[in-house]
Amino acid sequence: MDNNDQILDEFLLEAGEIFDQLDLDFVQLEQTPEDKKLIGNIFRAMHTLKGSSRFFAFHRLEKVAHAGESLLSKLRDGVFILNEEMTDVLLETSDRLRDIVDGVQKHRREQAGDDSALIQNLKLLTEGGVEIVKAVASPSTAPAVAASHAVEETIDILPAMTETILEVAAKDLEQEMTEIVKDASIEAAVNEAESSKELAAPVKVSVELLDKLMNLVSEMVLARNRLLSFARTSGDLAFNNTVRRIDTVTLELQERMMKTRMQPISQVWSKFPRLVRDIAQDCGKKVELLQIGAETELDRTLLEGIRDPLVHIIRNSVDHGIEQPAERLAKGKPELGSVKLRAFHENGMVVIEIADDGAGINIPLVKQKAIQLGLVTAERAEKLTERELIDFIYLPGFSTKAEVTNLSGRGVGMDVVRTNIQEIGGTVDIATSAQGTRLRLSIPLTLAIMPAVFVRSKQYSYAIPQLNVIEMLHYEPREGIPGVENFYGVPVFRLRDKLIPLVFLNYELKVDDVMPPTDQALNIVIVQAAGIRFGLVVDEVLYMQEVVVKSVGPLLKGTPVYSGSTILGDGRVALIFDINAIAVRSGIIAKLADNQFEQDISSVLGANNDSQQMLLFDLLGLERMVIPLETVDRLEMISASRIDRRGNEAVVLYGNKIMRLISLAHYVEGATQKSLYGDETVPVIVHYHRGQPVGFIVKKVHNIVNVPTQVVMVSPPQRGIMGSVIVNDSVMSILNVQEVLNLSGLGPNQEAGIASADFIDSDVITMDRGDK
Amino acid sequence: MNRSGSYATFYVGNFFFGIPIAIGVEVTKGQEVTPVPLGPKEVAGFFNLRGQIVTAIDMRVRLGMPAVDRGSDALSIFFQDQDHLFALLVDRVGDFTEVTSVTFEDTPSNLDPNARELIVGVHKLADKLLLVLDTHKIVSGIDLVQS
Repeated sequence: MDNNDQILDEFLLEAGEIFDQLDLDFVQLEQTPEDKKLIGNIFRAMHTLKGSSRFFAFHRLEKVAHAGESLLSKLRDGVFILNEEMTDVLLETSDRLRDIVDGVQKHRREQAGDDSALIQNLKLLTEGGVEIVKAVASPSTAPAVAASHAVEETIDILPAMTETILEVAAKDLEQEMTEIVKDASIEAAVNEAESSKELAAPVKVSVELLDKLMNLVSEMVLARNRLLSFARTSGDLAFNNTVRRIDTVTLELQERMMKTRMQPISQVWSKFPRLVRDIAQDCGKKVELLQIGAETELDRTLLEGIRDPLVHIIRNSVDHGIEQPAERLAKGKPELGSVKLRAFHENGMVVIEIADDGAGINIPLVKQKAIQLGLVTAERAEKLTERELIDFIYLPGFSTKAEVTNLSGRGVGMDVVRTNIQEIGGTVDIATSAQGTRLRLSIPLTLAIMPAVFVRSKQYSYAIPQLNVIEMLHYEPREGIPGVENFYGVPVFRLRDKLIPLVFLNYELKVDDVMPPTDQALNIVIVQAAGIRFGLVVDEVLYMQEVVVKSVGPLLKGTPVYSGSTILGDGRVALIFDINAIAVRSGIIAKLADNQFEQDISSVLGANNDSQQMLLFDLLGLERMVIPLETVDRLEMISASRIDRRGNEAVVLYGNKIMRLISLAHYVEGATQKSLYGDETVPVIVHYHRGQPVGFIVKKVHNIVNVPTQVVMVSPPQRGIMGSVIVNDSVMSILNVQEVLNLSGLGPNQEAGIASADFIDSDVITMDRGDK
Repeated sequence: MNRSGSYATFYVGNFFFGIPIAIGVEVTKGQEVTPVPLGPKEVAGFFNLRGQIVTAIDMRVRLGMPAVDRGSDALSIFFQDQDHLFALLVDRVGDFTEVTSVTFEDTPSNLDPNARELIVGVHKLADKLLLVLDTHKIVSGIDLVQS
């Protein structure tokens, strides 16, 4: 039994390989229908399948393969030339065979099923080339004919019986005879083909054996490292030379060993010609698939990970990207659309590009849809760059609600594509124009070896996967610069005017019971995971190194903060962090989500309609002011020594532009003014007014807060204040940006105070986010 | 089940344990164990045995005894379970002992409950009891999620 199982497994493996090759060959055959060698290959593949299925007594498989083989033999002998109908039926045959084999794989025996229609079609095609079209066009007639035949048979059973038996016997005999003759000729052909091959056949090796060898090699690398340190202190020339030799051999061994894990990307691509052909035919388009760099290799575990995303992208390209032939011709494009797959190595990553020459993503439509779905205000949408707009299509469910078909397909599942690629440490990039769309996936070569940043916590080192690391920095508290602050219970740190939440590693790992004081120097690794960026405070940042990733075994299943382990040069084990899990564990994600920390699209998506985001700041003598976030473009610290005068105005050189500085205290009632000294730096809120930067000088910038859209009007109206909002039992005053601009001579109409006049009548109004 | 054969023996506290050497026992000393913050308390950490990651289980903690600092002098007994290598950190390693099934008896009911759940039975030796450990239970009984 065991033996049989083994033989069956071998058969299943072989059958799988045959099907993959068949798909490729059929599509190729359609392009070069007279390629006799190709037909020969397909024919031999069918024949092999038939032979094996007879051995296992898989009758369905045998019959279907036999019918397919008959048609192929006619093609091979040049009786017919392949046409599209034949390809369709042959592809269907290949699919059916695959289905049957899949059934065998699952149930260890052949499943019942009806293949008579398919076999009938194949027979019709085999028997006469002229009736092909009819036969395929009305496949339903085939079973009907068979059925009526059966009825006839039952009516005159007795006389027919003997006749049938005789007929069947004769047919069988005839068939066997031709079979034997055919077999002989095929065997000869196969032998001929094989003897002409110059290369030695590849050997199948089990994955476990390879993994074991890989382990041994990494152990050898470690032993070599120790040996090297002995050699450094030894004066023995012969010994040193031997060590050097071992060093180079080990290095080469390691490189070759890594190669065994690598497989060409063609393993995944081989299914795509068929996929493109089928989709194109379904939507009545003409599309060719070009493959460049199919020999590019990457780790076999990663190959699995990119299969589904690629299928999805290609389907999008053919279904939604490429236009209908007529439309293409009207646009002056060739009728035949193309999808180009390209793979190559770049900076230690594998880059896969999928480019189509279709219509591209309709960006105005994306914008319209985003506004319609309330993901962004119309005003803000106008400011978004093309790239930022494209980002919307990654949002889950973004386009499923779109009625416009050209868009709907583009976005569906793009979030899944991105998630899948990110899971294996890759990135997705889209470029689009009316000439087509190009997606670019960057994927690490392997997950087994990856670059990592080592950090120290107490006396132990830990590895952080480098793909999570954005930057590393040393922070020293200094006078006058805001240090670590508290934001709704989350310690945050300012990095170039962005608030970065901090996670203290020692505290998180519970090796320290208390949060360390934050008024000291900190070593921070800025990491990105789970959609947020945060700073991991460590004892020390050590070095960067490639690590061989190993499993942590079954006992850490309940401790998700580690994704694996690795062996250090000195033979000790170091744990590798799962940064996502640390972010989740620390609770910052939940806390930040509650408080609308991030100002990217994802948080806008989740934003509650009853609140809006504002930036909290102080003026001298007037604390707790807020300014609507849409009007804030950047935050800057500007040294008073950089400020120049232009007539009555204070200006500062900002990039290549001149930024007008406005001291808010001057225009807001209740605030007091103060002169600036030369060495002082002041926080400035930058607002772009008609493309020109305007800087509002404030005393202090705090953080982003969520405020209700219910605005309480101030009565009597106060200069520079639009109204107040209540947040957590305290009152905040909303800056009237328009009024301040008007007062400082930047308004649309130069008369002061006009912009706020609309609001004076009512005591409570609701602010509309898209109003301005 | 055949209870006779060779056992690798060791001491943890007052207990005298044995593991059938058929399970693949090896004894080493002086491994530098990397601890696992937030991991199960029984897991003393990880170390490297010829390129394989070994999970070290502190037998004192596993048996509910007060832990002692063994430093790098810890003695480890290795075995394999579920395709992963484990090592038991023990107090003292004994001899390899040959026993026959004659001396085997089921687990006495008055044995310390912490030890009782981990053993399959005892061998009555001339001077003491040899507790036969079930290595799989040592691993599978550990609570993975720490409070």
